[in-house]
Formats: sequence, structure tokens, C-alpha cells
Amino acid sequence: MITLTRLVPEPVRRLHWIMLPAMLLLIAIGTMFIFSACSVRDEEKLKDLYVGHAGSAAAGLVIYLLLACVNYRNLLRGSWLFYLGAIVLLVAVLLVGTKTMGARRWVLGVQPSEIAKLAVILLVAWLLGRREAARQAESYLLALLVAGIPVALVLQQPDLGTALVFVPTVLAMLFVSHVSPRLFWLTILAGVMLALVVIAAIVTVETAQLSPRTETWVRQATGLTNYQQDRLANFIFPARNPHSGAWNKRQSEIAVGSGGVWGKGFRKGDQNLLGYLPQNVSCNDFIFSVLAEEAGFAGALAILGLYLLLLASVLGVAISCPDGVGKLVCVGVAVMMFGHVFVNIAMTMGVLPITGLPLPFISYGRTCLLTMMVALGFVQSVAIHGRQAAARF
Amino acid sequence: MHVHEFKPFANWRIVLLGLGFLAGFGVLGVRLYHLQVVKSGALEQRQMRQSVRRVLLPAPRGRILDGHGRLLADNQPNYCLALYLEELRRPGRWSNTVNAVDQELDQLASVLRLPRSCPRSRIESHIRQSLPLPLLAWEHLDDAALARLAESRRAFPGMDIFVQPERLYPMGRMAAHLLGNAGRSGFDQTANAEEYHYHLPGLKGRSGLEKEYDDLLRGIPGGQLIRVNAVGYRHDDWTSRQPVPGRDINLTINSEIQLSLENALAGVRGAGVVLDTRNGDILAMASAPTYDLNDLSPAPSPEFWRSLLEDPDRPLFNRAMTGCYPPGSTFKPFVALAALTQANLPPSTMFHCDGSFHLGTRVVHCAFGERHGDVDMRKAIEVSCNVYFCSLAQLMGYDAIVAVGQQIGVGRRTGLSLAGESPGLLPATAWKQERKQENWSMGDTCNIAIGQGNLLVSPLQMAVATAALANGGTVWRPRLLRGQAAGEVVSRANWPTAAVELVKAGMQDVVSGEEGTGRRARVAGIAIAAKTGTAEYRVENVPKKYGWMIAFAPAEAPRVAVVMVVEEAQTGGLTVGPRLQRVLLTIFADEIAAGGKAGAA
Repeated sequence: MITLTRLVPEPVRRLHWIMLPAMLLLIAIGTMFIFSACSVRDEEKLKDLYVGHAGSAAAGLVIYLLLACVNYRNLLRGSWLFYLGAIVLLVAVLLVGTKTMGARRWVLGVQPSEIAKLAVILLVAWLLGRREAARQAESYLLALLVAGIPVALVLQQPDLGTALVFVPTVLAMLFVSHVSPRLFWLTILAGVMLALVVIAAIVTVETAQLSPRTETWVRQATGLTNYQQDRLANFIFPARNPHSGAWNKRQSEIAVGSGGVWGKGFRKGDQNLLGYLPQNVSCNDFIFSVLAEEAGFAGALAILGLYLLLLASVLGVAISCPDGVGKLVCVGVAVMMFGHVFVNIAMTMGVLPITGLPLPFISYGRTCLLTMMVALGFVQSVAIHGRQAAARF
Repeated sequence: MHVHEFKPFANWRIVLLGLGFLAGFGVLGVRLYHLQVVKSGALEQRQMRQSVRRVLLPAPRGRILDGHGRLLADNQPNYCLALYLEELRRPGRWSNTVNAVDQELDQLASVLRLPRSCPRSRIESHIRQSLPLPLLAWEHLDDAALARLAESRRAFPGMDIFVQPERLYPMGRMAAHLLGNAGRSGFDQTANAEEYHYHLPGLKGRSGLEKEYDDLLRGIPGGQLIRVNAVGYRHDDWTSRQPVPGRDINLTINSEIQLSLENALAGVRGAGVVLDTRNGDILAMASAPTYDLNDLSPAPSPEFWRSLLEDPDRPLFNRAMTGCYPPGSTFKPFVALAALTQANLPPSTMFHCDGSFHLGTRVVHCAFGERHGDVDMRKAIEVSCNVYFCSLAQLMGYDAIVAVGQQIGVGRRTGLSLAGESPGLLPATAWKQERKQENWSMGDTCNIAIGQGNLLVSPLQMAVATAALANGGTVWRPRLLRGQAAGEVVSRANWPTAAVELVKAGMQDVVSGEEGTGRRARVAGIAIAAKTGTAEYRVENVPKKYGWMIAFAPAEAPRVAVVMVVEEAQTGGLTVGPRLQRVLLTIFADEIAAGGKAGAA
């Protein structure tokens, strides 16, 4: 027995054997349903998006395995550089980015906002996870600053959904690290107040008869663009605009609901086939509608189960990791992933307003897929190297 | 030992996060259950409603055949060129697609060498109103056009031949009033029509038998479901219910007799009916002038329709059953029958005719100023003596005439299964009181006795009455549809055989006697009983005459009753006699041929 285990190298033996297959399974399912969603497209090029997805996944897997072999503690020393790189890209996207549907999100074929999510997680974990950072108000404020800069830049694109994902991620990391609890609760309180004020402002604009000047002032005071305010208002008041703005929401609900318990069968989803789910969102933001229609309640539940398994594994790695940096990396990655999954699926079922958050591993989107795989690569590294002696930074 | 140092990263906080995840997934699961299990049916309905269009498919219309299986109304395919827009669609604005269709139509026009019949505006309205259905760009493609199309089919995507049913009347003008016409139906008015989004045009009976038996002929329409995509183009379709073809109907009409009757009426205004005296089957029924049914199918041109409506001869008017005429002397046999059966007067009742009958200040003359001298009942029928019948009516009273008139169905619809039948008029004494505030006078009785005055009958009624006389008193409900059952008896008059035989003998003399007014209807080898009639009427104070003739044959064992009326005639015998003869020649063609051979042998 002993000789047999000796044959397998140490890192491979320590590999987390649930996380990797769960991730690969989700990617495979994603590839399948991107194929299904895009098969109805007119342009030949777009029919082959699933190949691109699988290709990105292959590249991602290589990076994932490489990361798994390397001790994350060594890598995180360079998190400042990674962070700076992400900030540079975020600034670049504002200057020279490709504009689609009113927002600049791409530069050089990548979405810097996706990379920034991971960069923030790694840097905040590095700042808060080391022993010397504990219980210092300065490190707390530094963490907020580290998260705040990319959030501000992402809001400029504008991409509210992505910007909002930073918030729970960083808050969860602050919560677990227990740095300056008083400031933490103050932040939470301030955040809730801010959200309430924004919602109150939108409700006021919508219901009260304000003079144009006052209305403009209130609208500007929320700090949101008119488009974002409209979307929120559409969500709070569903009857407000039953036709234009709510089309995707309604069609997505119909898709999910008409799938029934067992679904309509692979590539037989009418909503996608007949174009009621717009083709430009069916393979990314609304891929879950396609999946739920074709695979039904059973299939959708299975997907939720896979995500839960993956998230539980990540948190399990966090619990078993002896040092704070490893724990925080895992917590950050888990919360970021959960945020995407929850917001995306809730959006397709009409529970949350429509935002452009992709469904991790399943939605088409190379930057997102690679980022998520790299993130899990770090978690895998924590799983393998976390228990190695002496966390010395 | 490191526990104290890493207290900030307490694992319970991570577990708490995990529980938060669980709660989040719980919310998702509940919503998923709500949508995919609880509301699944309703959302599936919504999905169907927004993407499925129902189309009503007309069933193939039943045909109409004559008594010998000859086609009177048939269906013929109308080959249309159909464009399926979902295959011609262009991304972007609608006008891109309209342009693409427009260009294809131009190219097709040059290939077909036909002028374009579908303007751009129709493409636009088609896209707006019935996008999932094919656009019919040309109709009635002939063989040459179809051949040219077959050669270049590959070059035109989204193009196909679409076959629409159309009504064809192989015999053209024949029995036009009876058959009526079927035109393209617009919106089907059936009970659940509103459940359908679109209706493919079918055929709908507009008049005559086509209208009367529309339910039978139309069959049961089928349903087609078309799935449309979000833009409204057809995605696919399937037939949800096969149409049930309409039933063929077999008429009692005999095309040869019908044609002969129509030919006999050619060039005049008038009508004729040939009835089987044994069961009430209508062997022929015609009204002149007539028109070609194919000119009305699928829809008449407005000019043609106006010309039909404005024609002073009123070709659309079915004189055979809707027309009402005073029967003139053709009523006399029934008056004689009234005297014999109701007043029990003997056939030997004699009156002296000196050419005129005086009643107070009024005088009734016999035709052509003839004086018939002493005449009995049989002779009176043969020579059609007005003086005799006025005297007879005076003797027996009006009630006897009314009784027989009612027995033979005057003033009552015969019950033909065709809309528009006129009941005629058998004036009661009270009728005149009501209408004209005058008492019934003996003069009125006298007028009715010679078939004038206010007495009105339709040719069809007269045919039923003649048949009743021929078969000894059975009044049949005339029928047009051949059924399994024997005919339907409306009533049976209880006439003594002797009385009927006397009247028949008088009517035979009308044709065969030296002085008979119906001599011109003679047919060698066939004993014919007949009565002529001439009724006067005025059009803008110009006196005119209706010429009548009723007949049945063979006299000894009657099979057919023939009735004809011609407007603006000289007299019944002169104008109608030879025409009726032609019809009889056709009816008895076989017997005449056999008799001729027998004679030759």
C-alpha cells in the first residue's frame, strides 16, 4: 500500500477529488447547452461558440493544474502586481475598450472586470490573511480601498452587476478575517442605508409627482445612470413597462416554467428555437433558461446540486486550511462564485432584476470561464499546499 | 497551539457562510419548483399562445351529380405560386425582406412571362397580417407557366406551388338556378371560427343548392397549427385535425331532359318543370333566361354582376319556383274536377256556348271569338270553353273550387328544399274583403274558374298539381335530392276514379282531338294528356299574354308531368305547344325509338 502511494507524486495525492470533477462536469454541461443555444443562429461562426468554450476550458485546465502544483503562498506575494495589472486593464477598457450595447467591457478580447474580481480577492486575502494584519483598522480601510478602486472603474463602464459582486465578496472576507469588527458592522449599516436611500429615491421618482428639476436632482443623487434606474424601477414595479424592458424576463420565465419537471429534451427548447429568448443572450446571460427549459426541474436541480457540491468543497478547503491567507482566498472565491450563480439564476427566474452576470462555467464567456478556473486553481493549491508546515510569509 | 493566533479566522464564520449559501440555493429551489412544477402548465400555455397559430383548413367540397352520375358541380385545382417568406427573410428592417420578395417577384415575372399581379403594397400587408401563411403571388397558372417554373425552380428559394380548390360547373349554364354557385369564402362563420387565427379560403355556397346544402357539401374543416418564431415567421407546422371531405349530392335531375327543357325555353322568358308523377322527383326545372355559373366562380366580376342585376329580363330570378303566374285555362281541369268531386255534378252537364258569357255588366268571351255550341265537360276541356267553365262555376259555387285548389296545393309552398319558393295565391272570399274592401262576386268566381283574376301559381306548383291529377290524387313533395326512401306524400285527394278518368280523357282530347288546343304537342306513339292556357296581363297598359301548357304522359300510365310557361306568348297552344313537344320527345326518346322499330318490323 505504502509503496503504491509513493508512486503517486505528493501534489496529485493531495488533489481535491470532488472539486475538479464537479468543475469539469459543469463545463461539459455548459458546452452542451451553448451548443444547443447557438445551434439556431444564422451565422455559421456563431454556431461554433461551444468549441471556443471547450477550447478555453482546455487552456484553463492547464493553468488550473499548474496553479495547483505551485504553493499559493509564493504566488500571493505577487498579488500586488496582479492587482496593478488588472487596474491598468480596467483603465484601458475605459479609454480604448470595445463598446457593445452602451457599455465598454472588452479590451484585447478580455473582460478586465472579470480579472479584477480575482485580483481583488487575492490582494485582500494577502492583506488581511497574514497574522500581522489582524485587528488593524488600517488594513481594514486598505482592503476597502483595494476593492473600491476597481468598483469605481467598473461602474464607469458602466457595469453595475459586476461592480456589485465585489461587495459581498469583500464583505465576506472581512467578516471571516474579523479585522476591526466595529468598522465592519458600520460598513454593513452604511451599505444597507445607502441601498434603502437609492430604492426610496427610485420609488419616489416613480410614484410621486415631482417637478422636472427635482426629479433630475433625485435621479442624479442616486449615482446611477437612467438606464440602471429604469431597470430597477421595472423590477420594483413590474406593471410599469410590460412590453419593452421586461421582454427577456417574461420570456425567460416562460422558458423555465414550460420546461416542466423533465424538460423538453436537448435542443428542443421552443423558447430558444423560436427566438423568444433573444439569441444574443441565450448562450451567456440566459443560458440557464435554455437549460431549464430543455432539462426541466430535474436538470435544473442537478445543476444547483453541482454548484452546492463545488461551493461546499471550497468552503471545506477553507476550513481545513491552517492559515488565514488560504482561508480568505477560498472564502472570496466561494462568495464570488455563489454571487454569480445566485444572481444569474434568480434573474432568469424573475426574482432579481436583470444584470449581465454570467453563470460560472456554463455561460459562454472566455474571460469569465478562465477567471473562474484560475480562481479554483488557487483553491486547489490551498487544498494541496495548505497543510504544509509553517505558514511563513 | 496556533488556535489562539488564528482565532480571527474562526471556522464557525465559514460555516455560517456555508449556511448562507444553502439558504440562497433554497430560495432558488423554491422558485424553481414554483415555476417548473406549480406554474408549469400555465407557462406552457403562454408559450403555446405566443408561438402557435391556428389555421382553418377547408375540406374538399362535395360534388353535385345528376340522376345518372353526371357531374354538375366539380372541383378543379387552381395552381398558385406561393412564396414562403420565412425562407426569404432578411435580417434587419422589414423593408429588407420586402425588397428581397419584391426582387424575387420581378425575376419570377420574367421567368413566367406573366405580368406581376402582386404589388409591393400586398407584400407589406401580407407581412403585417398573415406572415406565417404563404403569399400567393400568382393564381391560375397554366401548364406553360408551370413548366417554365419547374425548369427554374432551383433558382428561387422559398417558392412553391400551392393548390387552391375552385368550383367548376362542367355543364355551364345548365340548371344554373337550381345549382346556384359557390364562391370563395372569406371568414368562415362556423361556431368556433374565432378560435382560429387564420382561415385558408375555402368554398362557400352562395345560392341555390350550393347554399341550401352547404353544410353537407362543405364537410368539416380541419385545423393546422403553425409555430411561429418571435418575429412571426413560420417555423414549422403540423395538421392537428384532418378535414373531413364534404359529401357528394346526387340530384333527381336528368341532364338530358334538363338540357332539352332549357333548349325549349331558349330565347324567351319563361320556366318549365318536369316531375316524376310516381314519386315527386324533379327531373328538370328551368328558368329562362339563364347564365353561366362559371362566370360567377369564384366570384363574378363587378361589371358582370351588375349586368345580371340590371338586365330587364331578370336572369337571376328563378321563374320556375319563385315566379307566380295566373294559370289561365290550365286551371280548368281542376275546376272540372271540383264540379265532379265536390259538387257531384255529372260529366254530362251541358252548357250552350255562343261565344260570350254575361254576368251583370261583365262579359267573358271565348278565345278567338269562337262559339262552341252545346258542350259537355269533356268537350269543354278539349276546346277550353270559357263560357262553359263560368257557367259551371256559377252552378257549383266558389267553395268547391277552393276545396280542390287546396287539395292540389295552390297557395301553399310545395316544400321543395330550396329557398325562395313562392306560395302562389288561392284567394279566399275573405281575402278580397280584406284587401279590396269589396265583396266576393260571382264575377270573381268566374275569373278563378278560367284561371284568371287573383289566382296565382308557380310553375312548380302547377307541376305538382298536374302530377297529382296524373296519379289519381297524390300530392308529392317535390324533391331534388335522390334519397333511398320513396317520395314524401304531402296529401292524398280522395277523387273518384271515374272523375279523374273523365278529366284525363278531356286532356287527351286537347292533344289528339281535331279541335284540341294542344295539337302542337303531339308525339307519335305516346298518348299525351295536356291542357293549354293563356293568361292575360298588362305591362304599362300594353296587354300581354302568358302562354301555359301542362301535360302528363303516357296518359294511360303516367310517368312524367311537364309544365311550361312562357311570358309574352301568343297563346299557350301556339307558343308553348311545340316547345313542350320537344321536351316530350327527349323524355320518350327510347320509347319512340322502340316504337319506330316495332312499326318498321
